[in-house]
Parts: sequence; structure tokens; C-alpha cells
Amino acid sequence: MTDTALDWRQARSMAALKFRIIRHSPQVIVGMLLGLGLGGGIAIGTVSAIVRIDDHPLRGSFVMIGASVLVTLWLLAPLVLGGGELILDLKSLALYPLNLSTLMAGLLLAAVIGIPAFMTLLVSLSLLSHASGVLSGIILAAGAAQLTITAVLAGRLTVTTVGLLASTRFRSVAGSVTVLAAITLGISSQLIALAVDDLDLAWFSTARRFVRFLPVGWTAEAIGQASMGHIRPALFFLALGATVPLILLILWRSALDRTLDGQESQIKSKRAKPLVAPWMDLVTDRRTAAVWAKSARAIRRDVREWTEIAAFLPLILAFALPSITELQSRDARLVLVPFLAAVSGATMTSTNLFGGDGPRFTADALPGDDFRPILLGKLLPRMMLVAVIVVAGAVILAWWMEGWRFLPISLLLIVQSLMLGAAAGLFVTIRSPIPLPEKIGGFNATNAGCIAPLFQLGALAVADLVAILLALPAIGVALAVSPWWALLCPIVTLPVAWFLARRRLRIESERARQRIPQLAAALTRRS
Amino acid sequence: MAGDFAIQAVSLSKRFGQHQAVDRITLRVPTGTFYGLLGPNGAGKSTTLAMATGLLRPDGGNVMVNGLPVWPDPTEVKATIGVVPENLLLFERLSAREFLTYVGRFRRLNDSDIELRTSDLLRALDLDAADRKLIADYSQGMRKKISLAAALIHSPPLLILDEPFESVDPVSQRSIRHILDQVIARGRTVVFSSHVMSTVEELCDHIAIMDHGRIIRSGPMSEVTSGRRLDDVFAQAVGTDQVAPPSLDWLR
Repeated sequence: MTDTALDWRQARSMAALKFRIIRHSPQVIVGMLLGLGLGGGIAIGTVSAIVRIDDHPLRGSFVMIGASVLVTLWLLAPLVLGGGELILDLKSLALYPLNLSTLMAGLLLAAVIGIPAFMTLLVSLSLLSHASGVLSGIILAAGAAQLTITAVLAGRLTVTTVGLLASTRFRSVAGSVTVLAAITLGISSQLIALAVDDLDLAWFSTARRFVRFLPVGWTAEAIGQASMGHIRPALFFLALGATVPLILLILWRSALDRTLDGQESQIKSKRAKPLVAPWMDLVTDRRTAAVWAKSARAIRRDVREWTEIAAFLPLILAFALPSITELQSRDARLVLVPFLAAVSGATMTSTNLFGGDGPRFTADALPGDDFRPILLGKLLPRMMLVAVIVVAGAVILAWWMEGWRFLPISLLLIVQSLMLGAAAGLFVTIRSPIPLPEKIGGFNATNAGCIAPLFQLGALAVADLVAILLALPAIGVALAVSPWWALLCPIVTLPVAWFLARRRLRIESERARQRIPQLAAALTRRS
Repeated sequence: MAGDFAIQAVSLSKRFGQHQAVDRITLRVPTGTFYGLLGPNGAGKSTTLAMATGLLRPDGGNVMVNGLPVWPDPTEVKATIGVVPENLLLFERLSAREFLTYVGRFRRLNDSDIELRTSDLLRALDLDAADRKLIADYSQGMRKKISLAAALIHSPPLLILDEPFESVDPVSQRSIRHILDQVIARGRTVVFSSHVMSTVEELCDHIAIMDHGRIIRSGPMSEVTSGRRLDDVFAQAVGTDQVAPPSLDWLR
């Protein structure tokens, strides 16, 4: 007979296990405290806003959109905040006789007893202030509970699904999803900031008409209708919304089942490809080409490397979007700006070149070895990735702003900025290596302490400053004289950037050679 | 009869993409034996054990453990076995004592039993001095030992160990062997995979040799070896004795 009964003692033990692990993880505690501060502030602000709009004619739309956004955040946030189950490892739990019902109850319990769930419930319950009678109050209370359950289940489904995908040949898909989620959140935060400046309240009603057809909007619509005192439609959407947590539960159960069955186990490809593409050997020496090929392969296959590298995208977008969208008319001069994205991207993607290596670092690094091919080989795929993205951005800007004449000088500035960014990244990568955690990485999943971000910020600031200084002559000539005359400036500035990057490569190679034991110790530290 | 065998696998198969990891094997592990699963790297040992322990769903065939079918729901079987998996799967941010306490709860032991057994196991495996230290700070030998303790805490009739002696120092090896001898002396079954011939020869009374996903020899040790050295039998079984190693003239 199969044992399917829910064992509450086991489920409670799972929740207790999570908190015990957190107790021994200082970096998680710091993250939770920060989350408590930030989330608490947002929750208090939201609750006060909900209470204050209880007689606003559009309160139904505000509440509905807000509630839909809340569920969406639960769905996307795990990708950005962790990208997978970081505390209770499902593979470890699979060793024990925990049936699916118990496992789900334990994981849900662990998720519900937490700051985000508490904040969600608090915000949802504050909607009771909109109750116009007993019935609407009951519907609002039921809607609040249903919304919280839906949100928590959505978060669980994301965590398990990404964890499942991240261990299979779909790991690149998981990485892409993670990055897309980060970009979406980055862009959304900027769009919201812009919307607040020029808020058209009618927009909420328009958005509501669309969102209520989406599953994330059903329970939200019930709450919105109930807050307006519309009982019948509220009941209809509450019933419709009740199907969402059920569907999420079924999907989550299936994802969990697959994870426990080991169906995410490594699927090996038999396709034999040459490790080093012949053209790489033509571009550089054999050893650099070998490291380059290996590094490019690691970036493609390892979601931790992927996400860490792609993390610069949402940040750059978050900075760039407001300036672009605030423009009243097209401005061709903007085509000169992407070099700033290049220097930032190059710096950020090269500040932790050995992070994913872990113990493998010692296999690559031999005492007395020349580190230049290793550093250069690891830099090249990253620089190419950043270059492709930034050049694409520059071309799009040139088309959008009708500034094709500025594109050639912009491309040259991008090249010199990539070199400067790489130089700054190298400075950090040797001084403050951060071991990426073995599980799928999120942007905050490392045990970096506070030194690494400080180094990174400092390097970024210096690189940006030098890049601006070196770009100024070309920009000045391009704007004051002609973009074509400006092409003469890089004849001087490009070699300067080349010299600075080359010199940094030499210095950091030597430093790395002298610090192999320290680097190895830092990279094999368990997070 | 099912009761005579701790593990009984019939036509068990597993494929990863194009690679047939386990190819319709039939394996019978008699109850009360010390059973060694041998094979070169990639032979399918770990995959076989993962399917038998409910950690990996097979593509075909079936496997019974302690008289219970492992699949489709392995929960019941997991209650009757102790497993030391290849990658250990420990909760690293717990101390050894905390880890065993939670494992005991997941194994449905009562609190007094958990406390008693945890102390006994930590003492027996020489981990009592480090019982408050986080597992993340343990050496590989200590990690293997705490994993073995977790596999033993519920006193299972069958212990399945994947490469238990790999990367383990001789002192830790000795204490693991001592514990396993005690387990066998109490009539339990121990199955372990290894490619260290001397260890298998010394400990096991039954063996199976796997290669390319198939079992090519199996039975009591004396029957399989017929008086020869185990490494010779192994080399002959997997065909490495036929292949002359290259001379590496360039080394001169």
C-alpha cells in the first residue's frame, strides 16, 4: 500500500529545518533583515494607500492592478532573488521517506512562515477597510486569503520549475528566464517611476479591462469588485480565481515529482564538437584560445555564469530608460552615449572571472604559470557578449534617433571603453574573487561579504571616469565640428586604452601568479 | 522468493539521451550479504543504485527492495533503506548533531530515540568532538561518516552505499569498515559500489561486475573469482586485459 497520508510532524520539521539552516547562514540573515526593512516600508506604504483610497471612484481598478502586480512579483521575484531552491535542497530531501503531500505541505509551511508571505497577507487584509457590508467584507477576506495562497504557490512553482530546468539541458532556458525576469523587473521599476510622474488615473481602468482576462487578475478582480461593493461579479471572479491556486498546485506537484524522480539528471550529449573553434586559434595563441573556448562553453552551460554576466543588462536598462523615454523629441546625440554601457558592462562582467571555477581553478593554475592566457581567454567571450549587446543598442539608437552619422565614432568609443572596462574588471577579479554557489545562482546568492561590491563599485567609478575622459575629445569634436572629424580622435585615445588594458593585464597576471594559494582558498570556500 | 533478496531488479534500464546507462540488467542481492557492485567509471553502478533507492526513475523493468516495489512511489522503500549517495546530499549549514536530529524526524523516530542514536553514532564514528561544527567545515572523510550515520540512524535492514571509500583517508576508512562489519554481523544487508578491488575483495562475500550498463559477472565471491585475484577477474571481465597499453615511447 502506498503511503500518501500527510505527516504533519515531518512537514513541521521541514519548516524548522529551513529556519535552522538560516540561523547558520549570516548572509541569508542579512538579506532577510534588509528584506524586512524594505518590504516593511513598502507594505506600510501600501496599507496606508489602500486605507486612504477607500472612497476613490477608481479604487476598484487600483486594488485590482495592485493585487495582480503582487502575484506577478511573487512569480518573478524568486528568479531574481535566488533563481532556485537555495535553502531546502529537494535532492537532499529526496533521500528520506517524505511523500509528496508531506513534502508540499512542508515546503509551503516553510514559505508561508516568512516575511514576504506575512507582508502579502498584511497588505491583502488591509483591503477589508474597503468593505461596504458584511458580504463584501467576507468576500474581501476570502479574496485576501486566496490572493496570498495564489502568490505563495506561484513563487513555489517558479522556484521548483527553475530548479528542475537548471539541472538539465534546459539550463540555458532557465538562465534566460532568470535574466528576462530581472530585465522585466528593472524596466518595470523605471516605467512605474515614470508613470508616477505623469500619472493618468484612467490608465488603471484600461489596464484592468485587459488584466482581468489573465489568471493573475482573477482573484484581484474579485477583490476590486468587492471593494466597490459589486457582490455578484466579485463572487464570480472569486470562484474563477480559486481555480488558479488549484492549477498552480497541480503544476507544482508535477514539477516536484519530476525533481524527486531524478528526471532532471544530467542528459549527456553525444555530439562531439571540437573544443576550440579553428578561428579562435587564428585570432590568438593556442593557450588563450583553449581557455577562451572553455570559458565560452562554461558561460553557455552554467546558468550561474550566465546570470552573473547578464546581470549588467537590467542595471544598464534601468539607468538608460528614463533618460530616453523622457525625451520630448529625437536627439541624434544620444548615439554617442552607448560607450558608457560598454565600460560598465565590461567592468561588471569581468570582476569575477574565476567565480564559477571553484576547485577547477587549481587545475588551470600551475605555480609559476603565466596567467595572461588564462585572464585573456576568460575575458574575450565576456567582452564579445557585451560588445554584441552594446553595438546592437547603438545601432537601434542610431535608427530610432536618426543619428546614423554618429554611429562610426560611437562604435570606436565602444571598443576603447570595452578595453578600459576589462582593465578595471581585472583589478577586482584578482583581489576579490567570489565563489559562485553550486546551486543555480541568483544575483544575491553569493557569499561575497561587503568587500567585493565595494571593489566593484570603485572599479566601475574609475573605469567610467577614465572612459569619459578618453571619450570627451571625440564627443567634443563630433558635436562642435563634425562626427567625421571626430574619427581622428581615437587614433590617439584607442592606443591609450589599449596600453592601459595591456598593462593591467600584465600587472594582474603577475599578481595572480603570486596569489595562487589565496585565490584557490577563496574560490573553494563553501558558501 | 522476494524475502530472500534485499534487492531484486529485473530488466532494469535507464537511458540518458543517446547513452544507454543501464541496459536491461537483472540483479539479485541475497539478504544478509555484503554485496559489492564493481565496474569502471561510467559502467552504470551509480545509476543502478539510484534507481534502486528511489532517486532515479527507470525507463524500463522493475526493482523490488526489501520485498517492496520501488516504483512508482518509492516513499515506502525509502523508509526501509539507508543510503549514502555518491554526492552525499547533506545539509551543509547544520551541525552534525542537528543534521542527525532532522534526519531522525524525517525517519519518524521519536525524540528520545533520536537523541540516543545520534550520540551513539557520533561516538562510534569518532565525530563527537566535532558535533557542533557545521558540516560545511568538515573534511571529506568526516562528510562521508556523517552521511553514513544518517543512513544508519533508523536501523535499516538494507544499507546502500555509493563509493563510500572514495576520497576518504585511511583512518576514516577504518572506522567506516568497522561500522559496516557490525551492520553485517547483525544480519543486515550492505550493498556498495566501488572500483577499488582490494576493498571489495576484503569486505564482500558477493559481487556483481558491471560494464557498459550490463552485469557481466555476478554471484558469491568465491564462485566469481574461482581462486584467482579479483583484479584479474575484473580486468578479464571488462576486457582491459586484452588491450595492450600504449608504450609511450615519447616519454624517454
